[in-house]
Amino acid sequence: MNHFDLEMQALALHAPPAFIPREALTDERATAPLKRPRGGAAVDAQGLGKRYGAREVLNDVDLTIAPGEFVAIVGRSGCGKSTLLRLLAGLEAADTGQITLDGDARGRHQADIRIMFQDARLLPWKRVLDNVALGLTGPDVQERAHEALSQVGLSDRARDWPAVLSGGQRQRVALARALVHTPRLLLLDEPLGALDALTRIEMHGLIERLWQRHGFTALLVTHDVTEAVALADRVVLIEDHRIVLDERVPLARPRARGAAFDAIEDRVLQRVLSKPAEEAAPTVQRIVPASEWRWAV
Amino acid sequence: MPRTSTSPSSAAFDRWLLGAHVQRVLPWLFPIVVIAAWQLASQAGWLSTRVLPEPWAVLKAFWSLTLSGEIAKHVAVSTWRALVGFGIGGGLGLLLGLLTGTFRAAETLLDSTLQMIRNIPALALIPLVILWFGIDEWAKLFLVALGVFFPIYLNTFHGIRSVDKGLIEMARSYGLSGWKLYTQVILPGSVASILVGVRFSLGLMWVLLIVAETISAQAGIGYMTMNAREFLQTDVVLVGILLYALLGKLADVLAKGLERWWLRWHPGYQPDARS
Repeated sequence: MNHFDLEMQALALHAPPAFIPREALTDERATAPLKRPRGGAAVDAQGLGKRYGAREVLNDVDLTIAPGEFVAIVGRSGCGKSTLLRLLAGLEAADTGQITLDGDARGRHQADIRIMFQDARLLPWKRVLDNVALGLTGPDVQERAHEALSQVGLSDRARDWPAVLSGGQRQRVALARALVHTPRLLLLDEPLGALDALTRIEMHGLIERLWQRHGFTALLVTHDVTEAVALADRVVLIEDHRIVLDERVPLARPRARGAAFDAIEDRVLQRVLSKPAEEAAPTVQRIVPASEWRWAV
Repeated sequence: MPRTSTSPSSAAFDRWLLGAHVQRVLPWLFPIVVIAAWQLASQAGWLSTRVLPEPWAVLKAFWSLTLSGEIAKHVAVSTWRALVGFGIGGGLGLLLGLLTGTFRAAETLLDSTLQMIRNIPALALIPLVILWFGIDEWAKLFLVALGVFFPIYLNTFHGIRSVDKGLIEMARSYGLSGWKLYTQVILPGSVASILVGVRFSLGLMWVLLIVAETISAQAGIGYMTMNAREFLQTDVVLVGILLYALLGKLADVLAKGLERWWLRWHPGYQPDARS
């Protein structure tokens, strides 16, 4: 366990740790009693920059998203697209630049933002329904959780443990857990990356339907250009730590593959591939622990 | 190893061996054979009663001690000592483990001291303990408490530290913090590790109690066996040893039960829940 982990753990009881900006949490508490307006939030990020030590991850990124818009961010792995999402989620603080939601500082809207992670991150010791109800308060918590669960088609699994669900089902529970808070900005961090192709197509339909129904603003980070074109109103490409392409997808929904679809997909893909993969990406050599050795005898 | 025999009768025997009822009985087969051999050896006069009394004599001693109420009295005294010592030592271990696991300042302040004390065998402290507490109840409780403290402390500390960081991050972004985050994420995430410490401690608890009770006592299973030794009553000595074995097993069964209940969400504790 490295020093940083220990530090984070040590801070676990004090409310705001290093990776959530202090003002974000206090502001959330201050505005909590306000009735949240429904619908999507307008997102505006200006001049975002982030570096980890000497390594630059994002440099002067501007991104504006209209209320209720569905934007997909694509890019090679390590291009900084996940970091951008983590900055918007408030999981990390930007070094430079600022983020506003509906013109206010991002921190004032912490409760309006929900994130779906690549791994579902369900609490294994809570049953499915209690996972969905995580962080909810009020007298009708159970009903709201049930309602969200039925929207993702899993109301019959409410009493199950997450351990017995399939990967796709877990992500649907995670989606329900995010939606039950009626977020105005939903951040999706490669949530379908670990699923098989058929389950992904199913999930595309589900996410699109729920997005149309709830009207939240959605930001999807993915490395799959087809997925981006299938779901998003706009596809944004990040390369060399900055936005290099911002392509509208003017196709009717629900989208099916066809000439227009393929043309857009092809254009984005060509742009991604036009730059050869970085040769000397600083990958950390993984040390294999003794328990993972296999003797070839 | 290559199978040499594939005859139908041997296959049927294999199937029978794997049957549910047989599987339940099979673990008892070996002890039963050993006891039967022991009984025969005693009856034939190969084993002196001074060395080992016959099993039947042990049973008779057990029965007469039960009727006289002596067993109940000694077991009650020993169990009380074990539980109180476990409560004090385990409770402190849990408390300090939670403290050092959660707060970095507490770890800096306490952990290296505790690690130093941990390396002293509890039994090496017996002379000091007798000087401090004399030979009365507190000396025994102190030894038991000291012994059970460390497994629970270490595993609690480790459990808290190894809670999935991703889950903590997720819970924070869903608005959990402070006490809620602690009770809903951090504590449940470390229960598995804490229970490992509890089971380890339960084993140590009896070992330390046996030693403590044989030093000096006016009651308890250890006293009963030491007393019987004075009068060369090997059967009573064996009854005492058997009682320790039974109580140890009982404590382990209880700990397993706790595991099954608290970790029922864990795939390893779900017998046939598959979807």
